[in-house]
Amino acid sequence: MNKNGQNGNVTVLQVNNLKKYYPSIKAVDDISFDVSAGEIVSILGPNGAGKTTTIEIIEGLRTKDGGEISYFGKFREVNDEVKNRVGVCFQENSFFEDLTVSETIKLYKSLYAKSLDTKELIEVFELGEKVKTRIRHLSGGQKQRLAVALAFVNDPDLVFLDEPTVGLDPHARRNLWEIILKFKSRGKGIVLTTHYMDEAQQLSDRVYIMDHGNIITRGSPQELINSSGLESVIEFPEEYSALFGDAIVAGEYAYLHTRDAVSAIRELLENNVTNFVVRHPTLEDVFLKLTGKKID
Amino acid sequence: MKNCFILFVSLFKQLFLRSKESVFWLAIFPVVFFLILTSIFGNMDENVHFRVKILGQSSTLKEVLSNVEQMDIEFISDYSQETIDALKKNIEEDKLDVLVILPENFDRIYSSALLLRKTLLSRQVPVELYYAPIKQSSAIACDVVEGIFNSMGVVENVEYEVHDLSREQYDYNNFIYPGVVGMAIMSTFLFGFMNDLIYFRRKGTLKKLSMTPTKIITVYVTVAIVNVIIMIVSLIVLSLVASLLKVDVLSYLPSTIVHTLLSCVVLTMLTLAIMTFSNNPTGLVIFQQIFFQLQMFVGGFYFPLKTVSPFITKLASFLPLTYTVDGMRAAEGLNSLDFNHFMVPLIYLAISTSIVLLRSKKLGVSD
Repeated sequence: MNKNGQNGNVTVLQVNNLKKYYPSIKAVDDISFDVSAGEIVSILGPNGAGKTTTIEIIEGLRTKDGGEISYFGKFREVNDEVKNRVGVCFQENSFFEDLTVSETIKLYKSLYAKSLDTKELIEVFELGEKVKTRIRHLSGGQKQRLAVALAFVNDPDLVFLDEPTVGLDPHARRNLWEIILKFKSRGKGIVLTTHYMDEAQQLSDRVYIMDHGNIITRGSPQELINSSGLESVIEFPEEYSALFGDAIVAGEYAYLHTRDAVSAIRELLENNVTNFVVRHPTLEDVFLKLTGKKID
Repeated sequence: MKNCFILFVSLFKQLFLRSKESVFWLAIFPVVFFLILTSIFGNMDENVHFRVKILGQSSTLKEVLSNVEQMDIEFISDYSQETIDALKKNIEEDKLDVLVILPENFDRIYSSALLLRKTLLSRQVPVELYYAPIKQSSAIACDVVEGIFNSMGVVENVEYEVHDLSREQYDYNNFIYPGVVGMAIMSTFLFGFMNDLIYFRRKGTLKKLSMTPTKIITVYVTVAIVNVIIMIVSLIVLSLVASLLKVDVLSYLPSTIVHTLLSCVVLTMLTLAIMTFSNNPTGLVIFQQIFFQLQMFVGGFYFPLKTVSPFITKLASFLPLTYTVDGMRAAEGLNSLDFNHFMVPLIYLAISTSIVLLRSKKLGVSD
């Protein structure tokens, strides 16, 4: 069962033993995963983990060195039939800047065999006021909404969203989350790549964390948190990290994952450290523990 | 088909109707450039090296003329009518600026004229000058030759018989028009088509379009067609302005159509062929600049190739648009190259097409 209580048992994407090797690096090293209809799957990982390579192989933008990919129940290459059922939102906006919003939607609608109604798309993505505005005159948030709208223009069964909310303010991010969840509820399988751990935690039914070309863990956000063995996280300035042998330094802060928060707090207070935070672990803490890095 | 039309309309709006930059570079700039060139060089010949042939022998003249550096002078002894006719034809064809026909035994007759000039026996030396005054270099060369005779202080002793061999109205405006057309074609493909593809590729637009069922080659061809239409608009505006400056646009029209279409196909395939070798915008921009500058300054766009060094002429003969411009000029008899104007462009087309076919995968956006 996914978060909306729907059965996501129709597999829209199945990746088996995918490999991509470059002379000096194993970019993707024998990974397997699947995505079901009505499910949001997040792929997380630090830079260079192999996420983008994996997604681009699935999208048909890169060749693979091994493994097989099944789209909508059939093992095959990316062909026109697959493209008609797949939507993609790349991280960089890639529009014809001098076309208006409605012209852009009309253009992309024309390139697919089927498409959503323009009015509906404009309404759902709240672009009504800007429909006759040229894209170069849109704000960053409006461009981002349009980019995601174009990923859904062909009413796809499988959608890849690469950093869909990057650069948006918190309010706009939450709005876009709601839209993504709305499409999920219509049975779309969504593959999300994001640097925002809260986003992955809020939206994902399942999370795959990648590092060095491998999937190092998988599960629902709560399963990952529960299985991490983390009970408390103490966040404090990094100059005191030497107080604890197992504190992880990331930027200006050190993070201590511990089952014995009381002892750790006592230790900090004895060293006159008062500016610390104790909280429950999040997906970000799981990520930090597994990869040793904070996501950039 | 409908999707191709919508793609075409979208690209036409993006690349032309709503792009101030492209309207300037592809439509206004060629006209402005044409006006600048014609106002600077119009009716002024760029050839400052005069070609003079002298029929007859004269040690006096040889000594005097050897001091004039700007003149390529050749003395010929053959007075046959065939030789004279051939030399006159050379003037008509702009292969020679001035023909001087001296009487046989010029030196003796000239010495006698000098000795007897104050006597009743004084006779002028008959010298015939053939030139084409409508052509500036020929007119200047003729003035220089007359000046040389004057400098000998014998002006009253030489009777000039000047023959006008101007075959037809020739001016720089007529000459430069095909050159500016050539430049407009080059701008369209090197700075229009290629830049559009580089920009769309770098910006990820091609990547986004490649995720749709539309073939990426359809996008490339549509971008090329849009650029050709922009170029046609540009050439129409240029031709209207040129006709106001008395350029015989109508007589250029058939050769302009044929050579422009051929060069469009050649440059489309050449651009695609080059793009199969590099995804790097910097490398492609370097190619653009080298090709553009070489073709523009060496390819005989702004001066007749027959007036430059054999090395430059040889270099120009390897460039495809040299033949486009020279082929157009052939319609007015202003061409510098006498051989086939289609061979080299067709060789470029064959090689580029082969490269594109063999390396077509490299045109995609995948690895």
